[in-house]
Amino acid sequence: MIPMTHFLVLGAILFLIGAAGVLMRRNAIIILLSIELMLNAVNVTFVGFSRHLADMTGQVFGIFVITVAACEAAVGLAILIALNRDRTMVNVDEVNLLKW
Amino acid sequence: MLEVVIPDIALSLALPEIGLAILVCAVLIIDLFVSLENKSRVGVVAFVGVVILGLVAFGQWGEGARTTFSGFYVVDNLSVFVKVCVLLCTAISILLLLQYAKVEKINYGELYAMLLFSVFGMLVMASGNDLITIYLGLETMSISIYVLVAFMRHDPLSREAGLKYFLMGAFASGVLLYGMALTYGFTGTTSIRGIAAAFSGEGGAAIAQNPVMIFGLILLVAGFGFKLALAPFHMWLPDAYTGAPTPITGFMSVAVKFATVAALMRILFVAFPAMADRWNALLWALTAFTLVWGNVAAIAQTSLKRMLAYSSIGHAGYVLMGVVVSMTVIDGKVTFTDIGISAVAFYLLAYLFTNLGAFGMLILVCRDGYRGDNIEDWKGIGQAHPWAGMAFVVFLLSLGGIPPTAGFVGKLYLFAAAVQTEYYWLAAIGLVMSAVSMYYYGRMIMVMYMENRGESQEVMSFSSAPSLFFALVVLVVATLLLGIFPGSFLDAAKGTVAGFI
Repeated sequence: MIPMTHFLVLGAILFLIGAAGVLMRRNAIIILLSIELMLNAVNVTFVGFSRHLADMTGQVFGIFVITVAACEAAVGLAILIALNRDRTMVNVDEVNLLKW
Repeated sequence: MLEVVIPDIALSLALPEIGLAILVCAVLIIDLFVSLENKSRVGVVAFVGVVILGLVAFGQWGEGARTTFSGFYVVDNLSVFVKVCVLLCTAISILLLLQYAKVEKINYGELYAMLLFSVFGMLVMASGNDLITIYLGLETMSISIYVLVAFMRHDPLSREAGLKYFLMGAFASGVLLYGMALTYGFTGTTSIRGIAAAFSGEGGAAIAQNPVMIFGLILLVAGFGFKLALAPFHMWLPDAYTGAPTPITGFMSVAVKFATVAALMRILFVAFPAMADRWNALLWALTAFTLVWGNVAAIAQTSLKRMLAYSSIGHAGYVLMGVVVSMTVIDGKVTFTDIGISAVAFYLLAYLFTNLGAFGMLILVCRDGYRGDNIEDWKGIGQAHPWAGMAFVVFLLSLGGIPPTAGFVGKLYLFAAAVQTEYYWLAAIGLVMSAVSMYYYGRMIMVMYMENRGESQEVMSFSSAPSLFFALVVLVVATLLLGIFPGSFLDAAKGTVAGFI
């Protein structure tokens, strides 16, 4: 049996990789994928806890997170495509009409 | 033998949400039968539906806290108050949208449908009694608003605002979710009451001291901080607010605050009283930083819309100040004061009318190819259009907290709460920043009344659309009414506390 700490450490590492990707990468699609990685890291944590606690709630939450992540990706990609229509670019540094 | 337990479900408690879900479907279907020139009719259907649902939600007021859907869902005075205000805000926003959508050529049925979807998320958030419900409500709200922000597809600013808001919002929900996962792991439940029970039960004190649990709480607060645009998590807000269609900006600045603050209060006050000292210190720092940053940065703006965006960061700070001062320690025991919670409710109500009004003025001057976004554009408007000028002055004074307007009573009540619970420093920062805010609101009034219009300046004309006119009259009257006769509204704000803690 795999101890719970393994799940938690895996979740934490994946979450940190995802967060670092959002903060450091400049390609909008990679940022989107990094966000998905963060959400899936949360899922690993939920399922790990769920197994440890012998409680189904964590798995139910995980399924909801997967569903929401799919909706989020759909909307995010649609916005990206709208941006791409007139300017071919995915680099967020070029998205600079509004000052930060 | 397997025992089948039928959960206790009272659908009537969720009547506003169920009605709204039906309304959205109806709007989407009606949209198919309406020709492109007449899409405003879809908006009218949405408006009438929202008003009726607001009355339905109002009917649930004052009947105490009742839960349904196996405790996933709670109807108490706080949630009813938030629902009524969100629906009111939506109704006014639709009135503001009707004309604006035509001018900006975004008059599609989906516009109203997406608006209603986001409202559905807000109502669920307000009533969420479980981390799962709150999360789903939050995402329904956020995802719909990402679409609304980017709705002016022909306008590069709107698309850009949509992308920025989306990326930051999605990142924030990841952070929030990780906090929820850690909370679930330590307490073994996602129910708000269940979490509180886990903390007060055996070994609860040890959980509250666990560094990983504390980290989870910080992530939770940070996630909500992103949604509320508290400094230092505010960087998406000025861009998103500037690029979004103006009625949507007004809508999200008010309605999102209502729903998010309600969910935040429910999580912090009901689920986490055991860790109150920690989240209180954290929120204290966030509040002080938000108040200073939002108000100081607003001074430097040349765009009126952007200035209002920064000022809404400052106002988020005031709302949060109410959340912070709600908690006090009496005889070593954590207590939540009624005055703090009701100050939050009243401040939000005052902010609803005031801020929608300020954005409404911007919508009033919008015409094809001209937005009147810059402060300079408003030179001499006070003399040229006295009524419009007066209305704008009322909203600006109320935003700054000058009597006899709603904003004054809201701030007075808030500072009274802060002093009563002995948060003197926070009250002092709030007062100083209120004075700072009068600098940039006052400058706007000065531009309108003291400066002459330049020769080469484009003529500013005010729309005479009846929907806009009606909305702004309601907003001006409400702003003054709350300032002059606040009594019954204060009672309503005080009533939100009943059955909450």
